[in-house]
Amino acid sequence: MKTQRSGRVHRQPTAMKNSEGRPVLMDYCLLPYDAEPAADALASTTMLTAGLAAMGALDAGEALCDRIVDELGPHRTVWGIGRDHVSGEITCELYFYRRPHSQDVDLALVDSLLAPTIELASTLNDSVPWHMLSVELGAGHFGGNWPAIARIYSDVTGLSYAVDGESLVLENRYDFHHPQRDIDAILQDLRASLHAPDTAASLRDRLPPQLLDCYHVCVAQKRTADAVYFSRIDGGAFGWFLAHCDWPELVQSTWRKHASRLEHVRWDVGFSYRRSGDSITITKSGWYASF
Amino acid sequence: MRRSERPANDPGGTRAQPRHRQVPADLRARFPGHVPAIYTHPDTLLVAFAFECNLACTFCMVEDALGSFAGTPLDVFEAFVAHPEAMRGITRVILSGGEVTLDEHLGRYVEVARRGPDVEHVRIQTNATRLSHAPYVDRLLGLGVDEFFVSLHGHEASTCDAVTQRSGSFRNIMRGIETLAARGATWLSNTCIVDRNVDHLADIATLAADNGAAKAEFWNVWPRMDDAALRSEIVGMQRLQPRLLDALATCERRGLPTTVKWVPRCLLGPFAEAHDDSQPTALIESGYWQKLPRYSCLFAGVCAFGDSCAGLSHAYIDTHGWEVDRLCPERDLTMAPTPDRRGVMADRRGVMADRADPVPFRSLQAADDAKDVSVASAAAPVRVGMTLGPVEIVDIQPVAGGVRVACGVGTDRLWVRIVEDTGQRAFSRVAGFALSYEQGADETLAVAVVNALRQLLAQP
Repeated sequence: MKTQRSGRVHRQPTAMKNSEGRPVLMDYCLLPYDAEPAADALASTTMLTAGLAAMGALDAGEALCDRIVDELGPHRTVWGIGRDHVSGEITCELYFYRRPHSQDVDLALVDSLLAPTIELASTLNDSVPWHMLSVELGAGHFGGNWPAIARIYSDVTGLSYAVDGESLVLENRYDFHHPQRDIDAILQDLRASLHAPDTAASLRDRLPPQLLDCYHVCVAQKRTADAVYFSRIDGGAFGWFLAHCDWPELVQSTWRKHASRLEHVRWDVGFSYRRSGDSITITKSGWYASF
Repeated sequence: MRRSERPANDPGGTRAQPRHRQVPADLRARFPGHVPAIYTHPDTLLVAFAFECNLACTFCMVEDALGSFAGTPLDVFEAFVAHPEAMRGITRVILSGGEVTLDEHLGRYVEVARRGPDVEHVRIQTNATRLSHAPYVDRLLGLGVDEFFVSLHGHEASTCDAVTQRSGSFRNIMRGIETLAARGATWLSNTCIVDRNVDHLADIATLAADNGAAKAEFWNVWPRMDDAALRSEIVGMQRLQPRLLDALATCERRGLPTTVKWVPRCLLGPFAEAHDDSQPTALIESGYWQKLPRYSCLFAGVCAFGDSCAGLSHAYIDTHGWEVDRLCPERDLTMAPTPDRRGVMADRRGVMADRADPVPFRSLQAADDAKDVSVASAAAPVRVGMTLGPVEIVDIQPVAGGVRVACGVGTDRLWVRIVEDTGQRAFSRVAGFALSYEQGADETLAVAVVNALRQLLAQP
């Protein structure tokens, strides 16, 4: 990935070709979806650039992403831009997937990609099974101020763990549902949440109709909040989400400027919430794509 | 969400999309600004051409178009009608705007509509305020208008005039209706349900019936012009549903057919057949569709009517929520939930499900006349008229995946749904029945009925 200044971000989207030669992009589960980019389409990393700029780590962030693509190749990495709605801090989280039945990515490799700028304070036994590993980076990490830690995810249990030093600390639980067939399970999970009242307003705020036209709904239980994610939403819904979650103007204006050239991208979004009155308050929101 | 709005990359879980007939490509190419790509309705064509009005209804769906849209030019409509393929199967043409009687060319549009080879009916959508003049009505009848679809939003002046925001509108509308009735014209009432008239829907139905309406239609507000003022007009289902059911019952008593739009079908109870969210194929300026309101239903994917029922508008959901405890979808068990790794049964809100002791399932086949059903084995038929202790089987109707049975105990009635319990996932691999009945039913009656049915279903 290159910056807008280098001219590479505005290139044609880097799309894989499937056996029929059609372009394929990846969602945040690194599952492919068909895309039909227009002739002047932009890569989804256009918005990653905006996110890195908003967090104040544009140059360092781009350099890291370039190293990742150079090492792992394209279409191997999911990126996310998150914002803490309380502190206002914006972070970039990178998600590294293993190919099925392989250990082609390991912690040592991720550590080498982050070095020398970012120290990774995680140690992991090679025998620990995981299918995805992520590192969440704030401006402080890029500045070398403090080390980052890795998270690992198990697709068998749906659980994620922080790798804090040598300790595995249970963090989150994720359940993926079909938004239509599995609506009963979605409702059960959401209505049972201890972090939200079981009210009409709360359910509406956690299942916005603008986002429910999606590929999967993921319901997550976290340590101090619960969360819900919507995958492969279209550009109209993505624009609504950015405005609804009050993302900084730099991000929203970038979206408005380039939305018509990013129509081929399906975005993944989500937010964490806590109980507030008869509904919820969003504590963190994020959006995801891949490069 | 509406399935038609789903991304094309969704690989599974959704039923086949209805295939709409394509509008002839040459027409589309000649008039891209007015001619749609597909027929959204198989036999009804709406032509919008008169974007002016003498009323100012609070819910107006074309407020932005009034005075700005030019409408479908007559030559475009003529070309459409003259095309050898375009009008095939179109049996009804609806002329609309705006208030079409304000347009001096209305008669010519009627004449063109009548040229359609299969056209049986030409309808105008009107507020009837200009129909009090009998010779004008006679002229329209003579040209071929045979249905007058009259907006009637109040049962008396204060309610009606508050909705139309024009003093004296009720008086003028009623004069028009009286003239239509006197000339023997077929007229249908059309009431938009808003906060200002929801308490008087039955009164409006009575007024329509008293004045010889051929049909009464009730359209919930369609929030194309979504703003704070309009949202204040959107009535919550807790208030709307009983009043609408009362109005529909009034119509039934008076022999008046009904249609209901944009109220979820499952909230219409015994009047569910009146539900129709379909939209006619429309010749209208393409800019009109840029503000199309979006609709969704949480249960669209598991409801047997998920493809034909729009659900609730997003403006409604934003205002009143998803109505998750009020909706009672007719479950489509062909849409089985995704097996999950947790083995947790979904809590099916909206019904009280008896799943504790599933009985073995062998067969469940309704006879053609739906009055007799074999359950569990040929030795345990359920048929209309049979008694199970204090319970009498009053009626049997097929539903997706099974039947629903009307059970009577004395004068009390309870519908019980009996379906193959494909929802059993982790803690029982034995297929069985799921018995369910509507939330809010009398518990004593429900227990008696369910126990009787369980005994029958458990017979070897």
